[in-house]
Amino acid sequence: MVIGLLVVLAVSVLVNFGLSERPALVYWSIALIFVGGAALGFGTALTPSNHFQNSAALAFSIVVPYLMMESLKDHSRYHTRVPKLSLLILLIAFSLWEFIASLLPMAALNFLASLAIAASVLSLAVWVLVQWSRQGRFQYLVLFFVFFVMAGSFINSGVLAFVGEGHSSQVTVKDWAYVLILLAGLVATICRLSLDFEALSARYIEDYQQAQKTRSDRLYQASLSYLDQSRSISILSNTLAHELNQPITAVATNTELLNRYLSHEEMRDILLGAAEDIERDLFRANDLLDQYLDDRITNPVTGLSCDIVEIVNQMQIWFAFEFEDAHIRFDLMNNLPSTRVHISEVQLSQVLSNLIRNSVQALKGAVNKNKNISITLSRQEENIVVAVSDNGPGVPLDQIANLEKSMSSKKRGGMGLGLSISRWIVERHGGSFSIWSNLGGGFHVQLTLPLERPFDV
Amino acid sequence: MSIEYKPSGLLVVEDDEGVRRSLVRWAQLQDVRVVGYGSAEQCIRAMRSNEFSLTDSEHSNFLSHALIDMTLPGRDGLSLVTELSPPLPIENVILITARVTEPPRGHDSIYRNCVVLPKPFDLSTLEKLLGLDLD
Repeated sequence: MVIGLLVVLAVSVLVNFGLSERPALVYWSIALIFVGGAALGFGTALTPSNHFQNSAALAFSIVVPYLMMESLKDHSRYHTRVPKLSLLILLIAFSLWEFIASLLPMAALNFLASLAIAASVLSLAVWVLVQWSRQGRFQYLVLFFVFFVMAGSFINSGVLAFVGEGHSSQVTVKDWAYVLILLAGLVATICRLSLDFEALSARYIEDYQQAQKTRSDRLYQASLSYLDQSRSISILSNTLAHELNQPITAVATNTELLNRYLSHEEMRDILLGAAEDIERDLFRANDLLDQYLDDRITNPVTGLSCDIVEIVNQMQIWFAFEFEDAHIRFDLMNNLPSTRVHISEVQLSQVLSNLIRNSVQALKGAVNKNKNISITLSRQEENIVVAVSDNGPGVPLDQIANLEKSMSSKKRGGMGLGLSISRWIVERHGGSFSIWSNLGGGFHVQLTLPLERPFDV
Repeated sequence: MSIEYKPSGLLVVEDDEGVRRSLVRWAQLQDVRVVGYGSAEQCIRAMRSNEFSLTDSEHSNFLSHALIDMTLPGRDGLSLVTELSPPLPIENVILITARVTEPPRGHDSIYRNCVVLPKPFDLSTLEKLLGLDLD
């Protein structure tokens, strides 16, 4: 019987202390241990003249209400002070009861000890009832009835012990109490386990739903950001096309006039004017292109530098959906703090987008199980090195030079144009652009971008 | 759709100086009377101060046709057409545009009845639309 009780206590401790982030549960667990201790003491105390056992049982019982009170507080936290205080109360109760015991007969002591334990169990029953009224869970109601019956049994056994002192009924009462306590403890622990399981399940579901929501929000933001970028580029392209159309129209008209009337000497002055206008409009078209590529149209405030770490992080967000869709793992290896480089935000985004999109396209057609794209950032003196790699099918080494020259590629979804533009943009900003690849060896691009210059700011 | 008779005068309203100069130059070489303005406001002001006329064929600057850019600073080309027509017959207006987009709402009827010529265009197309190739 004693072993059974200890098992119940051990299980309670394991279950409840394993969830120490839930304070009320911890107090409940300690209370259960104390009830168990009181029951053990009470069981052995039924032997007459055993003041020590009686005192221990009573002291344990007194600590229980204190712990119950603690567990009922909304903001109670489990910390080391509580067990220490519990032990102090236990010692005081024990000493006090030792003093009273020396004044009372044994039968009265047994009776009082039974009542004290019954009061403790009742307080547990009340606590459980409060929980039931708060949460309305059926398990609490079951626990309440278990504790209620236990309390009644203790009162009953105390009365029997008092009335039947010195008779054979002592043994019966003792065994009955043991069995009842053991069963109650087991039922209580099982109920408690089911409650915990339910709580854990609810928490798991809540965490899962939260994670799903976060992921969905992130993808939504990424899509919005991507659409926003696409829209900006579209607007910019339309604007540029419109602006370029003007000088082109003028050049076309004047050129046609020159062709028509070249042999008309009498119109020489007018045609000279047309020739001058052609030159002027060609310069104008060139200036427009320069303006566009210098990014002064799109980014007049921030100048010609941007934070490389921020842009790479942004790329990771923009492409999150595509990575997930194509089952590609993306690795960002970076130990750099926020670092500004000499290139505009839009153009660096364009270069990285081109490279990542190329890699995604290459990996979509690949048979690899572990598809991977990585970006590594590092610093080399006054430059930042950005390495973009994939483990896709790659391109034969001898075709790399042709890849850029031809402005198109049959194997990698026409990435030649993107690569050429990317190289042009990077080199135009004083950086370097190198490609390495081999059939089956993936595709690797390394950009070297100079750090922000004083006049960038 | 093309214009069936040769213009006796051409109004050019185009905000881009290069395009405007080239069109005025072309009209002069075609021996067509021409006046050019950079905005709808300038054009209306000039008309009100009698710099040209759309009604009086005896006027030294009588203009029978117009070549108007759809996108102008301030009032746009379609709004200018509303102002000029009548007296300018709407079928004698050619709208030129560098944008391949729909016009603003409220101008659909004008847009539908005008010839729209996207930039860049070749002169022979323009001449055909203006009836200058009838000779």
